[in-house]
Amino acid sequence: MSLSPRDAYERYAEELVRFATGLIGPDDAQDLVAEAFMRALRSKGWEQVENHRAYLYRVVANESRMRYRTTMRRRARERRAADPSVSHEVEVRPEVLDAIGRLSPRQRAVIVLTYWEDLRPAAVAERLGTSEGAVRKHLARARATLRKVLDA
Amino acid sequence: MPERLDDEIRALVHELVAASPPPPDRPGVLGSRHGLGPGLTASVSGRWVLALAVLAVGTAGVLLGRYVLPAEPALEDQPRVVAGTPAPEPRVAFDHLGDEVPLLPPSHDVEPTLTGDTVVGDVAAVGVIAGTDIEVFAWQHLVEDLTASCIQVVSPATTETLCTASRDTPTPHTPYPFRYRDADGVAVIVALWVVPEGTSVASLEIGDHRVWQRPVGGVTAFALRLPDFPTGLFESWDADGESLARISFDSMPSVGFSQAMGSVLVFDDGLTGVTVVDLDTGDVVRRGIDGQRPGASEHRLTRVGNSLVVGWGRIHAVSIETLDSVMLGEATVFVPAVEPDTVWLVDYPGGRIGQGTPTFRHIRLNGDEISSAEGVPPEQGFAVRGVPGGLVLEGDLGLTLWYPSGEVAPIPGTSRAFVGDTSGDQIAWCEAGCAELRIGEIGGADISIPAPAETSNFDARSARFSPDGRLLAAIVGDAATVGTGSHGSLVMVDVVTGAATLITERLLPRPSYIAWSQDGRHLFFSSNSYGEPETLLGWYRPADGHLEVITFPYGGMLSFVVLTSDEAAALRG
Repeated sequence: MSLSPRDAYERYAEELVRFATGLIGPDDAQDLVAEAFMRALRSKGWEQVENHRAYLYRVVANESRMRYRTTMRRRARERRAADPSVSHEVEVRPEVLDAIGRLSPRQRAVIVLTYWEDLRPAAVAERLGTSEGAVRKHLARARATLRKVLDA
Repeated sequence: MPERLDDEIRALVHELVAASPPPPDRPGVLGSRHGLGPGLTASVSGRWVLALAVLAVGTAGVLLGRYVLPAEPALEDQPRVVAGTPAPEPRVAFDHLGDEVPLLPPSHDVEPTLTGDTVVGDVAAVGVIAGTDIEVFAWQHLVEDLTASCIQVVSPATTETLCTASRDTPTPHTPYPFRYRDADGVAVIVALWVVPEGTSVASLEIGDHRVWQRPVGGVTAFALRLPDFPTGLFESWDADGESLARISFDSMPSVGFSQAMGSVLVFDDGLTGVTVVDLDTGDVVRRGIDGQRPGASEHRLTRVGNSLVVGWGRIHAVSIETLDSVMLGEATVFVPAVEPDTVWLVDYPGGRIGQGTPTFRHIRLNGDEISSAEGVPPEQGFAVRGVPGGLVLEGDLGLTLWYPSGEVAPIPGTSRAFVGDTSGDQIAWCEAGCAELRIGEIGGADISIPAPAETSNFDARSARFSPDGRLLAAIVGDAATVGTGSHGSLVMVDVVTGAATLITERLLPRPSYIAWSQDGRHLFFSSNSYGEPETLLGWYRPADGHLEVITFPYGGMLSFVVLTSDEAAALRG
């Protein structure tokens, strides 16, 4: 059954913004999801998509990879320099942005789905349209990177 | 303690995701929540309007330099069987765990050869280049903590293997362009890459300007015709498989620098820091630099002695060895000096360039003042470079030399003049249009170097003398297309004879930057990638004409300085 883009938006926009926040931080998450929807909307493949949720996760992950590779660490720097009184309502410590910012976009996607949604590697793989082995490898590399950061 | 690490990562991720903002306003095209019909964009943010504009462009096929394809690429001549391609039979390759998986057979009894390393790449593929008897293997393997991406070409005549290593996440679909000469001596140039998920091998055929995509295990190759192939830069699949991005293979091989350079490039990031690229390891570090500021000024990140000079308004010198920062003084801008370990501070009244007569101060890197004098009013020119004992100013009718004693000496011209570079008492400069570059002794005779055939003008600011002053590298282009995103060529001028040699043809996006290594053995060049996802990066060695170019998967880089690996220890962190 095909889901209209409008219905998909109503159903998934909120969780996609959470996912995007994990990928690139809160400041640009809305824009990223907005652009992902625009991309999905203009895709001729939408009608053929069976799992719209997984499809949209993939588009969000791809958008983040294309456009926001370095955004998070820059934001961390800006936040350090920023006046605390005008910062985001829910505070994210610059250290957190910096740590996640050290991961590749794919590693971020795997980490967020694993530790926020508590998905097993097979489920992460399905959501991101990749193999379970690739997920395990990204997870291992991300954990190794974060171990170094957290031990520092 | 794996559990403790998991808990810490979970806490990290939860802190981040908990800051998630609400969903963006639904765009008008999806139908409004509030009764506004499609097309009514009263509640649509500026970003959405931009996205809609991009959508309109995107349907025409071109989006900001990329060819955006629909999710299902429109394939021409589909399906099309490639004549003479043998039917596939199972053959060995390796999956992400190093287990053997069946793939296509090569018709020659040659296997991918590796010495002592384990093939554990998550993609291994094999295919036949359309219309040739060349077979290709692509795989990745781990060497300690490096990911090596390799391509091996097998023909009846020879076997060639090319690998590139990186510390980045394996990207099996990175383009692997290279040049191959077949048994008949005919050059066949192919760009090869494994498309996402490793399901097919794509190749680029030069003669017909086509991309062939061939599923692993299939005999049918699909041809994609690409519009408007430029020379030197070709379009290829982007990593996400949805768009085509530019890659370059004017010079081969370009799968990563083939040899250790011993150099580290420090790029101005256009903001408050630098991007440090170790060419030998591929490591990239971004770090803040005390005193660097966003904003445009003629000279931004500049090496002076063992320091980096940065800033405008307040000029800082940052020690390369210790990263300690010294404020040299308040001035509108700084200008490099010829004398070692010194810099000129140019301060206009009110801090605005061109407003009133500036003060020119010659300062040592420890902050000591050598001289300070009133300069010349803007009508007579703008200081852009040091010359021995003074400054050279660009004016509307040639150049002017200025000295702290108040002495002023014109280098007359007939139109607006631009200084490219200085070296000792040599200067390279040109006049409006820059159809020819003038090189000569300051105050003495000069020679004129016309732009080489099929180019029409020099990028005035790009010229760089080699450290020994015998060579001058510059970017040349087509005057009609300056500033329109056309590509420039790299040219090398023998300062003694005036002979100009084209090193690349229309390879470099404009603007691009060039810089010599301190020992003068290598010339490096890079594209301006501010706001871009990747940077064209290359080097040239005048001694033997060796040239390499890669597409580096990081963007946001402006001009750069070259350090040795040892010098860059602190910057690399």
